Amino acid sequence: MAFADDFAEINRRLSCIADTLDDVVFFDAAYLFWTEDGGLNRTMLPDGLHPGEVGSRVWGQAIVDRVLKIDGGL
Amino acid sequence: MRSREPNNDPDNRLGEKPMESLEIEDIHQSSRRANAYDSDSYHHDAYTDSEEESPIAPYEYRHRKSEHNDTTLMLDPDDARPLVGSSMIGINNTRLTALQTVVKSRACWPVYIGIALVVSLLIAAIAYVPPARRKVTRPDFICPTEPASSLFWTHFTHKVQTWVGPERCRTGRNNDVCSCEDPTQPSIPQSPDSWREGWQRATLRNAALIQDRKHLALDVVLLGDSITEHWLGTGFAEPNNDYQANVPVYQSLFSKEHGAVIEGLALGIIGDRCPNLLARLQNNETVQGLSVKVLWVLVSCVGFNGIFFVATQCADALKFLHCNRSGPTTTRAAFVVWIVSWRATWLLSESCDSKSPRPPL
Repeated sequence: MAFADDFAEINRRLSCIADTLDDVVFFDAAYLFWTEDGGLNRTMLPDGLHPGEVGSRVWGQAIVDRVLKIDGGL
Repeated sequence: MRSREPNNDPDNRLGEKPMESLEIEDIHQSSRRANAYDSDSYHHDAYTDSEEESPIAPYEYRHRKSEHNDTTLMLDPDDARPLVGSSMIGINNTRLTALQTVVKSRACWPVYIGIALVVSLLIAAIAYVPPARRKVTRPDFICPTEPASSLFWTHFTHKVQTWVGPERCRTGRNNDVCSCEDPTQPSIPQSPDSWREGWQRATLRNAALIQDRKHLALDVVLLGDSITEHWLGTGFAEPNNDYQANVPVYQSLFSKEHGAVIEGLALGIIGDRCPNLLARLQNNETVQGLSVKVLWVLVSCVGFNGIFFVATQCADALKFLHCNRSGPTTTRAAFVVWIVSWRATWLLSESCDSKSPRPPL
């Protein structure tokens, strides 16, 4: 099993665990930082791991949107 | 198609047998002889040959079952009717001869190859989708039937134990024995000293932030590792110049004083993993006394080559966190565990090369 498969499996299970718990949701943000061809977006993740200024804005906005969604009962 | 008496064939290519009784082998021999003839006289353009030019063109083969049910290919010079709707199969010998000539003529292969290439290009042009228009589709999440922490735990523990390389397990005392902690047991970093000291320093900083925000009704508290602490532009509570640009972004998104829609607080410590976060939570270092709607947990994969183990920890620790959360004023908490695949991609591209610089925790 390749690395990518491992992590796809991890994310899948985390999502399933979250589904079984009250008041717990899973947020898979990997797609925020992918390029359209499936690679890492180095503009957002300059070191390939941590969001830089651009990446933090995208990441932070995603958090805000999700919190508002949870707060609104959506 | 005109008829001709078989016995009037000037070349008598079909031999001495009457046309009506020619067996299939006779026809093949005739065809071969005709091909040899055609190779001389019809060399220029086989498809332009007329029936008049073909010595056996007028004849039509009929595929007919004999009285003994033996398949016999017959020539019927008198019958030019279309052989449709019966058990017989007709074939024009001129076309047969021409076809064989064409197939044998290698001069036409470039034409066929050219046609094949054109068709292939057309298919490729139709099927091609520019990269910019390709959609990144999410994989379907299908919940496994077995418990999350049994087979999964075994699988990844084995991976960690068989891993070869430095920093296999971040808390391991050496590279030979992996001594990762129980993911459900709170743990304060002890070694190395720089980690312990930095972690304690950051914990005190976070406690001070909580005291400053107690009077606020927070929409979200961000709990996590380096990615969370970088919102503050620090690492172990000390300024990190690489992430100072994140600070104004953080303020604009999570501080109503700076125009944000929601009020948030980032409580991150670089390198934190689930046991470390549990220690912070259970020691009331962070969230006690806070009024918060959502706890946003972002801690999973720090540990580099021990990433599998740590990621697994979070699967279990997520349940543990949920069952042991101690936030009396927390009205609604959503533990949001995040994106393992994000870091996995980094591992794929970087960590296997020991010469590549690693980003800080």
